[in-house]
Amino acid sequence: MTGEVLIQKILSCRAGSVVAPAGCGKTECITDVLAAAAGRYLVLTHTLAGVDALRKRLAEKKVNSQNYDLDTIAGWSLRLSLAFPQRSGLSAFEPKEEEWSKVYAAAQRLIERGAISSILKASYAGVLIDEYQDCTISQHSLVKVVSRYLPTCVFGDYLQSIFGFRHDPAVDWDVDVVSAFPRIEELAEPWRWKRVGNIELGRWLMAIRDPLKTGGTIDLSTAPNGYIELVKPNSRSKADLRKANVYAGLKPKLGKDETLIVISDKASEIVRAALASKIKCSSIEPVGCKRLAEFILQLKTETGKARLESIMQFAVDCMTGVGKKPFMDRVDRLSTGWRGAKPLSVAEAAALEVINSDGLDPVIRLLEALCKTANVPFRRELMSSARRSIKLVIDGEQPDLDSAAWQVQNTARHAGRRLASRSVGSTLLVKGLQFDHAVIVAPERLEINDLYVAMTRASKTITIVSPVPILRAKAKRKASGVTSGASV
Amino acid sequence: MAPRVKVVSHGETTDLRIVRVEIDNFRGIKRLDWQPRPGINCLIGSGDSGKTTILDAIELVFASRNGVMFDDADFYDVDPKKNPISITVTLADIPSEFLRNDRYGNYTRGWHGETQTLEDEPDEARGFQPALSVRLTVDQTLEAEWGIFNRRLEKEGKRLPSLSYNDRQEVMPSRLGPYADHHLGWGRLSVLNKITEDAKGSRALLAEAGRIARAEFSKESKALFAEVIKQAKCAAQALGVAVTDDLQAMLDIQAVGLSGRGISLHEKNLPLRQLGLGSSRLFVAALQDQARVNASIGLIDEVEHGLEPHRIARVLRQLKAPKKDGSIKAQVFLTTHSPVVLCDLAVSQLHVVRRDKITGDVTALSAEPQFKSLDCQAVSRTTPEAFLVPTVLVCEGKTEVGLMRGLDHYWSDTGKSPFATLGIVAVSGGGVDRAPMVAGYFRSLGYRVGLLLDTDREPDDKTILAELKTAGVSIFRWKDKHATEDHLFRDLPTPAVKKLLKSMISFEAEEQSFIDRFNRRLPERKIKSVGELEQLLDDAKVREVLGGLAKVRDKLDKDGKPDPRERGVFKDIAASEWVGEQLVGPNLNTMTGDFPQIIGKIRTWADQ
Repeated sequence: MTGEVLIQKILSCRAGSVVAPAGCGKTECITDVLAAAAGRYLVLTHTLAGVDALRKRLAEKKVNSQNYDLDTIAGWSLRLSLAFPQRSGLSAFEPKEEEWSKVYAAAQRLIERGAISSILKASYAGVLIDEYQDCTISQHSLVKVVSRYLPTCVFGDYLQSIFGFRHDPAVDWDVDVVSAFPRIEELAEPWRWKRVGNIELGRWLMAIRDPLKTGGTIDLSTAPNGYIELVKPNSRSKADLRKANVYAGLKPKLGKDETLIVISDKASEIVRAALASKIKCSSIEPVGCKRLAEFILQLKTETGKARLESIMQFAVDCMTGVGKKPFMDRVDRLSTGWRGAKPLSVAEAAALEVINSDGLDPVIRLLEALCKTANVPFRRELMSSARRSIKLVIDGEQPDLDSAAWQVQNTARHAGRRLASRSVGSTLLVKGLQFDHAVIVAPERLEINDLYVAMTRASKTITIVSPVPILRAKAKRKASGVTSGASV
Repeated sequence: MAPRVKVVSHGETTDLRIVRVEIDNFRGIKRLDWQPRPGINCLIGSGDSGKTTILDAIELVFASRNGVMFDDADFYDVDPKKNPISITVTLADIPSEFLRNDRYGNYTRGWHGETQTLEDEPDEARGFQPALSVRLTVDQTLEAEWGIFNRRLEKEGKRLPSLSYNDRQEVMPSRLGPYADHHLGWGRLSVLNKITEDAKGSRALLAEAGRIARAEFSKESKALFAEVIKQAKCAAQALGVAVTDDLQAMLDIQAVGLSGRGISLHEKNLPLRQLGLGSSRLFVAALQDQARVNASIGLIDEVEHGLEPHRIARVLRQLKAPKKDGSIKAQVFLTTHSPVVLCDLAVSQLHVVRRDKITGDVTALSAEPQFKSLDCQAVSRTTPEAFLVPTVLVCEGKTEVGLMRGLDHYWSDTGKSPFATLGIVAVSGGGVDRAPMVAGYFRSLGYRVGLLLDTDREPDDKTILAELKTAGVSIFRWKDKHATEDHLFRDLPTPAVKKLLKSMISFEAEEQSFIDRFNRRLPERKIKSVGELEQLLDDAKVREVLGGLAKVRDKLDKDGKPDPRERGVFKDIAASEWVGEQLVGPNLNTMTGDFPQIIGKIRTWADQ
């Protein structure tokens, strides 16, 4: 699909950039380049979602896995630095959010001092970097140093830059990227929509780029008919807004094997989980999930009824139909010696044990029993991470819950995630992913780039909750300080 | 095998080579830490110093898991519990595909070729090129573990990553042991097999050979086994087993096994392994050279084994020869006991192996380090034998060497241990200025060194003797202002001096010129004949003059100085050897004074 000329251009460039609007075959282009390349390439991207997507596509195209080393910039930097701790100045280290810039600096130090130039050259024929718009300044600084030793081509779209750190802002495409990696191509064919016969929608999404970049607005009235649905809330009251969101979330009718993404608040996993529970969706969880950390702390520090209460609350936060109140009432009475007419359920027996023991065995039995009877597992990923972490400790494979949780999330990072057909996420979590249908709630809370990302996720229909057809992006906060790509 | 891309370091092309060998608790070696050089590394040293153990260690590090068995005797002090074996060999200029970070790149260490230092991580800009350490450990369970080693991995405490079978094959040294017969067949690990594999794939070739063998065999077998087959047929029919006429004797290919040793190189009908020992080793060496397209590393035990001197030179020249692409052979490790081999090598290629009998620590010191202004190469050319013993007695000149050798003969005949048994060689230091440097040089290589000097002249270097003393050289000097000849003529009993005189005169063209020279030195005597002189040998003055005459001849050069080419009569090993054996030895007990005393001290030192 990617033109032979472009592939050769990319393979022969010393340092260059390819601008790739959403859906224009960027991933395809990268896989085609790798399929045509002789030698092993370092392929880096910014997010784990991106790694998953690329890995899948490379496997589909049967590109020999010997021909690439695929990772996040963060993962690769850490790996490289830790392999040569004396030279990088970084020794055994599990970086937290803000500490990643130290890792990039360490990797840069290692390469810049010329410590391992022949190892780099023996390892890779060149470097391809995806989602380059999401690189932070310190990552960009590292990549520039890498490009001294290896031919480097970066791919990205200035309109899809949505990451950033307070202390380590994202690169400015026009200023930083183009000067180090001159533009060699801008992809222009909206393949994602063309493939499903919706080329008109694709063309329109290409056309909104310039006005969005310069003026920050999208005029939905210019859209071709039949693709975009506007759901207008009855009023600006919170209740009406919520109602409209739920209405919109249930609106798209999914055909067989079709997928839906509901794009909601990127700041709060609780808000997203709440919406997910109402519209029968699964919430996509960030790795390094706060709720899981909180639950583990509760399991470790609480005892007796308080501990049981926390487990039940965790179940409620993950699934509908737990029936916490009646369950707790009955367990309360059972714990005082009362014997009801109904025999003890598995869950109740486990719950009684939880009250009397600090072990993990009853906890896992309780969670498993609750999962069997629950209704909608809207935080399915969260629940399964918790269960797997507990099991690892019980089986003696991990010494404690913290390291087990780290292990489970790390495995998930590498294995990639399987999404439910109906998911709720934020622009951060769905960037790079593709769906058939999208619902965008509260677009007025999205900045220019978030809005572009949200608009370009679906190939068939887009449902938007907005009182007016002209969407106006929120003014860009300088360095929005959300989360690092590494932990997403 | 794919052609290997060479790694360029410091602007020159070099091949894979060993830059460091560390051994702990392996056989006689408690501890060795040695940094071999590119090219030839010739290990020299006395018999039990551990030379062959070093070669074995290097070979074992790259051996395959199922090829090696260890037993208690492989452990230092035969104590596996206390002394677990660890052998680490570090390779530099490793194949570039090894450097890939999905292979061994992340495990590499840093080797600085100029300063010969190893750091745990590479740092190429500072000259620390990627190097790979391979380690073999064996503990008391006798289970051997092979793996790639560095401090980072050690710190993690996990099992060391292993070098894959194929990669090990690529870096594995070839070994030419004292007996090389098996290399002349197609058996496993034979060099012929290796060449065949590289060329065509020996398995296919051997299969084809099997087919031919069966076809040939069946031609004759019908007649050959006819009687047996007939009987077998009858027996079968008697029991009602149906057999056809196709029953025949055939080679059972699996049982006969053409898969290896069954096939070997022949010249006409004579197996080549029946060549003379030296020839078959030479032939195998040539084959190995052929097989070493990848220029890996060679190990050769006792390179001189079975070879005449001229053929040794031939082998060494072959080892030193540049390969077709112009690079020199990566690295060859030799052991030798032959002065001929030493003469043919540069001192930079010699490594003196020495084992401390108490601690068991072994050192391998390069013979290259300069000692003052001494030309070390000349030392190995003129006195190679000195490198091959533990103790060297450096004598000022040939007179003293001869004297010592003569005394050695005398002592041996009278029941004392010969120098050879004690591991002592007396060598000429080439004069009063050079001899101390030669002594210092051998001392710096760890030899036990004695230095025997005349006292008629002091070395130009005024401090050197004090330095040698500090370094542990035993210094022996004659009485003040005495050369050896002075002592001989002054201290020997008269009959012996008479023999000395006769011998001295026998070197003269005519007696008269000798008498003239004597008279010139002692005008008051006016001697007329040798017979008259012989009567005066009890006179101290006469003896003094004769000693002086023996030292130098009076012929002057055109500047009026004694011609340095005109040497004294006993400045010849054979002559002074006779003096030592026949005159000095038998009179040691009757003489008095410094001369016999100092000789006594030398003997005591020799017996230590």
